[in-house]
Amino acid sequence: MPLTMVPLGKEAIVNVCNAKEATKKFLETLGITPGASICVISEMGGNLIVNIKGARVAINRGVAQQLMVEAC
Amino acid sequence: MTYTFALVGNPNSGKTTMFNEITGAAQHVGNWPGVTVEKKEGKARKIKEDVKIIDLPGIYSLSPYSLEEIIARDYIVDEKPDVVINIVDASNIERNLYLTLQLKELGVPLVLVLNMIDVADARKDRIDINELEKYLGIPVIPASASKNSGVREVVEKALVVAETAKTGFVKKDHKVLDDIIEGYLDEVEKLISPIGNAKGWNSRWISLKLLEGDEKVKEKYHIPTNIIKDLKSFQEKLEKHYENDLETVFADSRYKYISRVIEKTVKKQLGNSGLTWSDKVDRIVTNRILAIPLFLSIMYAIFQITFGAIGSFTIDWVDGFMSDAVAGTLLRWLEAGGVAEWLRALVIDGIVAGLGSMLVFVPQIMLLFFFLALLEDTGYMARAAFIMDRFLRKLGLSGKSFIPMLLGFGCGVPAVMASRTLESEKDRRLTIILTPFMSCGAKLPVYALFAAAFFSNNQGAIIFSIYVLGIVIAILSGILLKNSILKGEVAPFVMELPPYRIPTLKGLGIHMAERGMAFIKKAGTIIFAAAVMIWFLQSFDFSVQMVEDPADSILGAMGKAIAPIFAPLGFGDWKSAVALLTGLIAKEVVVATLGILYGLGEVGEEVTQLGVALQTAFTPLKAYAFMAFTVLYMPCIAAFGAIKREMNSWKWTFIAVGYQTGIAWIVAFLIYQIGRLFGLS
Repeated sequence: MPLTMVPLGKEAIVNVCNAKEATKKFLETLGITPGASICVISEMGGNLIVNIKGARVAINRGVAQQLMVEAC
Repeated sequence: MTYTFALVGNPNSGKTTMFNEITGAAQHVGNWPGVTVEKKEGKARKIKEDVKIIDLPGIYSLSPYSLEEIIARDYIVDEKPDVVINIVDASNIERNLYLTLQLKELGVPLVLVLNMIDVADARKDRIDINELEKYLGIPVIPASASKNSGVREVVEKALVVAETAKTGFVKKDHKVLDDIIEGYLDEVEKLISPIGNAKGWNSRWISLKLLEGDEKVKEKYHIPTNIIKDLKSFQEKLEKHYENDLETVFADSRYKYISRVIEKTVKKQLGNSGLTWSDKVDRIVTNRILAIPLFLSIMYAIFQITFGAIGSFTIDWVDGFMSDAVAGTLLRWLEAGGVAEWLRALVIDGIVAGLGSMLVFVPQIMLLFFFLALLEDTGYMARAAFIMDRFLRKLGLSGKSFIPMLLGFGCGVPAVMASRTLESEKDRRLTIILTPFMSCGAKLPVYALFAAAFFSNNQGAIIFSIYVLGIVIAILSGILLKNSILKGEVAPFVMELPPYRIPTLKGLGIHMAERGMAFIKKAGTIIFAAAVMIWFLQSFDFSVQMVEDPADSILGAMGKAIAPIFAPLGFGDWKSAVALLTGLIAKEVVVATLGILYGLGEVGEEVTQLGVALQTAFTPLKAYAFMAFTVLYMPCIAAFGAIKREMNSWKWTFIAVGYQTGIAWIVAFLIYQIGRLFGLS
């Protein structure tokens, strides 16, 4: 399911990223790689703040929809 | 022995604070050759005399996807600093170590600094320094730059590492990536090292980058095609084995290694998943209902303080100082010294009037820079970008455009430069065109002058409305341009949000002083020269005869030539035309020029005398149209230069300034003509 479906505060596991090449690379640099645990901290109009490896990263709705995760 | 140490670290790792603590005031800010990324250099004066410190741009990785990354990487690889000091945010260690691993891959002498260790301690994170040193194979120093602790130790340890590296004893690095990748890496290295050894390359690193698919390295080292062919087959095998593309495989492999290291060396009280106090603040600050009102309140408060009572107070204070102390004293000296009248006129009417009418705004501009620094250092700036992303998307911009736009209220030059954080060229162009509509600090003196003279009862509201006008025009322009010449999808918004921090007064002070000094320097050089030139041009005619009436001067002739353009806007007199023209040198010069042209050399009680003089030439409606033109028309030469550099195209540079000036004319025209329809004059 896309990251946008994950309820606030619930952890999920990154599965696959369908975003454009450059975005995907940047997400990977920030630690959003397959298998990483990710958690949505805050949501505003579809844009998300996530917790990834202890860092907080803002992701807009479009990217969040392309980031597939699995519930854990 | 002179050593060079380079500071490398993630954005928000406290790298700049560390740089400031090590170098003290002894720093030099310039640009990297050919680009506008800031280059800071300094000496570790307080600790050891002959150590040069280079502050490299803040980066997340050494892959070559952004200009900052390329600059940092090229510097380390080509300039070979004696030691690379890697600043890591101890409270965000896992992500920060990604860059550390890439630095390790480079095999350069490295010192790891666990900065903000106090934050990690307060959170009861336990980091086993000795174990971390063992796993990473590099010295680790805990420090807190903002508390000035551990700073000396960092430099001292780097000196030891530099000495050791000089003796040629470099420890063979242990492996970081997983065995299968390392296996292929050995194969690639076998191919590369015959060339590499002959040319003195760092073969292991080049092999790694080639295997990772780094095009920049492939080009830079002119790798022969037969090697490329073998390389391709290795890469295909790797991708097949992991069923993923190469970048993902490498990033994943590095992060897996980091996880293993973290597991053994870091004990987190909260774990990674608990909510920190910063998250709790974010629940409120980015709350879907509260976020926008909170954002608007903060912006309004900043404007109120800067342009309201406190701001006006500082203006009166400097004004009094300039006209009584400075001009009065100078005039007495000049009279006592029996100086020629023309020279007295130059000093008092030209220089003091010109500089004085502008310098009064220095404290106010500093105040604005203080708030911008405050927003940045607390971490709110990044949240504002996040909050504004959705709205900006409707204008064809992304949340990242917000930061250049906000900086635009300070100065257009850094604002335009900040647009480089936008990845997409289209987004960048649009941001650059719209940023100058955010009224910069230098335009403030113009509004302050006119508002005081014509709207004395509600100065604050009038000035605020001019700022709003700039914003509204930017919004409409965004919608217009994204549907015409700048079509296309807006780049995604992915941005790290630093935890909220309580800024240090020292950090804010440095930030503010830097900007303020730049402004005063500009006043001392460009504006000084402009004031002298304007005085000359308005005192002499084309046959270099001193004129009685400035209208007969060279400047008068120039002004009269272009004045008709502004007649439909309500200010078709030559003095206004000249002021707007000289405003292209720097916007503060508009006020300075009016000061000189209205002959305020005879020192009066206040510079606001100028306002009284202006009342003879302007009405409130004309004054408002003039202010509207000022906020919108093409920015000063310095900002124009920045636009050219960032656009990297003359065509787009002229589209930008042409659009801005055209819009300025139309808006001022509408204000004046519609105002007249309603019976104003």
